[in-house]
Amino acid sequence: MGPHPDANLLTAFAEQSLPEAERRVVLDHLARCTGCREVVALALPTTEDSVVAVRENTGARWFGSSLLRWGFAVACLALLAAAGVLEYQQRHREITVASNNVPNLQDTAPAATTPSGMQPAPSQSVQAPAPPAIRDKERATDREQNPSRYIAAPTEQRVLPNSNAAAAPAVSGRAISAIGGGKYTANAPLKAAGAAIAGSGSGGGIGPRSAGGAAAEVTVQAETASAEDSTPEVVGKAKPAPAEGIVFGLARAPDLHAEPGLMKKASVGLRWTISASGALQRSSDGGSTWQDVDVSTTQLSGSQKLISAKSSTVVAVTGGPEASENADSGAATKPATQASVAEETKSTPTPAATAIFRAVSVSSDGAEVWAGGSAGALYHTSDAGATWTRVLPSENGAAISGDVVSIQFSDVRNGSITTSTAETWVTRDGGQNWRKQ
Amino acid sequence: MRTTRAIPIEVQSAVAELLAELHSKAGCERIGLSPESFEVILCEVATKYLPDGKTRAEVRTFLLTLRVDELALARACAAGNNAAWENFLIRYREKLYQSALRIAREDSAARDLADSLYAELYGTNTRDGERVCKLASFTGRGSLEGWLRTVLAQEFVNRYRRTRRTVSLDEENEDGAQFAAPEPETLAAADLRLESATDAALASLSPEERMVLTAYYLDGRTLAEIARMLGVHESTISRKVDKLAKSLRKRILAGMVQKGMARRQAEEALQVDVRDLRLDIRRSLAQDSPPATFSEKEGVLPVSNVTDRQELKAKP
Repeated sequence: MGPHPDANLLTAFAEQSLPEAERRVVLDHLARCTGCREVVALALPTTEDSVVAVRENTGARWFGSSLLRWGFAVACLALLAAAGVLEYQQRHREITVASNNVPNLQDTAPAATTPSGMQPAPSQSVQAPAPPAIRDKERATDREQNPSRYIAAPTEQRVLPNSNAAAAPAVSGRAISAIGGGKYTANAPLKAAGAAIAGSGSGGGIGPRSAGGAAAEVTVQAETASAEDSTPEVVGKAKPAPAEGIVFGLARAPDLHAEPGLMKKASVGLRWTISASGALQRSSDGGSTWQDVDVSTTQLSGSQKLISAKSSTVVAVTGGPEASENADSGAATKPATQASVAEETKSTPTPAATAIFRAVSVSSDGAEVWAGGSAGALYHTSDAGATWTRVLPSENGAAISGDVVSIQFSDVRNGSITTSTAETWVTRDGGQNWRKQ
Repeated sequence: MRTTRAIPIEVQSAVAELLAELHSKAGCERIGLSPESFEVILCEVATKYLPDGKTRAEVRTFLLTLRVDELALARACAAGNNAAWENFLIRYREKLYQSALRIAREDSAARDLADSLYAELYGTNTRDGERVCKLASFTGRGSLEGWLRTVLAQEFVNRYRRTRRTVSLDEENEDGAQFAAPEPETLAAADLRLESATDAALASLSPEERMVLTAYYLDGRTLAEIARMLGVHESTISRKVDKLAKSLRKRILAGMVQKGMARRQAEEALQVDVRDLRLDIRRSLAQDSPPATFSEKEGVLPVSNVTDRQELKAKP
């Protein structure tokens, strides 16, 4: 019996990445060496890992969770209701509907969720008529008055201002805007449902799965998430923990890291890091597997919103096999991911999407992420990476210079970044306006 | 790690050709790995695994299948780069402990296991006055995470064997009884022929088939475990084991007939009971690997032939 194969060969064997000739040699050794057989068997990845990876791959996992099963059921109900409302409007208020919804085509996200022609739910009535900016302010005030609620359930909060009933008008409004106020076809709400499901898969699904039992929230959340995709500067709605930025380092939610067990229990699990090659990576299982995150920002018009939600799911799916092979970070997935995004959205990712990242700052719930790197690249997401906004700090025409080497956000609004050219940029409003110091 | 062979010219040229691409793909800049030192690493890895006489294109293909970013990270850690260490710890420290716990199945042993590997990784051991970092032996053939698990498992098996040798005699006897061959004096001449026929039949199997049989009958692994070791579906292994047991029986029978036994006598020898056949297979497969600890071996494994079965079998 020859020498034992080294750990590299045994690993490659177990990962099925040996060429046939070498595989035979290892197999031959394994057939006669109890010790090496035991090593290979012991070193197998956990079953859960592979099962999860496979499920992620097929997307079946989202439907495995009872929350989403119910969410799906409620989404169907909402669709039926929407169809009913549509049918009704089609018959009796055809002209009104058309005139009411045409402006919705250009409307920004919050308006899309609250079409003025529909009947808003009671809880929404306060906010519905307000223009988006005011609504945001109101949310901010609400957050100040009610901080505990926002801290306790960061992902949920976006949902709270909307109610179940709002889902129906929202979906129907979109259905109409998708076909340009024209005649209602069965296809349109189906597309909207696709968007809602995809949205809940990418936006909501990654977030805390404990997001509450009210299944309706999933629908609404998906709506809100996908609708907000197109808002260029999304102010964060989660309250980040005091985050740290390390030069070429990785900042995760520090409190979560301190207690990994706790993190698992809460199944918040989202962690962020930067790979050796400067790719931004995300882990949704407490650091066992890492997926590259593509930050390509695409400014989409109203009719493309549906597709945008779909494409974020594609990103997650392409990450799947990757994860199962244990983070083969870098070039291998990146082009694939970008390709699929480009194919789905028929738009090219911005060149800066290939930025080499150097700093990342994450809020305590992992939803609010700032990532920065080469050549002033600065990206922000408030939905755990489903959608990204490129932020370009500038003041009086002077833009940021150098690489972003450190990002620090003390809360959702107040943060500062440092560049390799020793510039410090400070924002007090979550990245809308910047001041150079 | 020493390179025992001179670097073939094909390897040198293929590495030189791909160096720039792989160097940037692996993100070496960030972790302080110069193209020159990365070139040395790539040459070392290629020389280690590729037999002489490979064409440049084959070397190229080989290099492109390496996990260069993890290779670069591991080697930069071995070289003592701080950024690389920070990155490594953040990505793998927790996994190291999780894996150790899964392997040792017990908290204190797991901690012990992970700590000792950690010390080896960090390079607290010295050999000939030089700091030895275990990460320097990672070659990027598999994933770094999988490699860490394998190294942990090797360490665990080594320890387990070391301690097993010190268990009390009673336990040892008990332990041995499990796999003990039938009493030798009861083996009649027919049984000897059965034995050699069994050996011949087993020797005619492919390495994979033998591996499946040993893992199943000797190690008592479940079909699911074997399936995962081989990266196939459980039902495939299940069918395979059934088929193998049947065909083995046929071949052993044929072997005995060939050796001059009457068919009926041969069938009696086999006793037609599958369980007995299994016992037989188990005995024939039972062979302990030498107690040598796992260490990084240089060069490629020789394709060993099956003739050493007999002498190995004499051991238990």
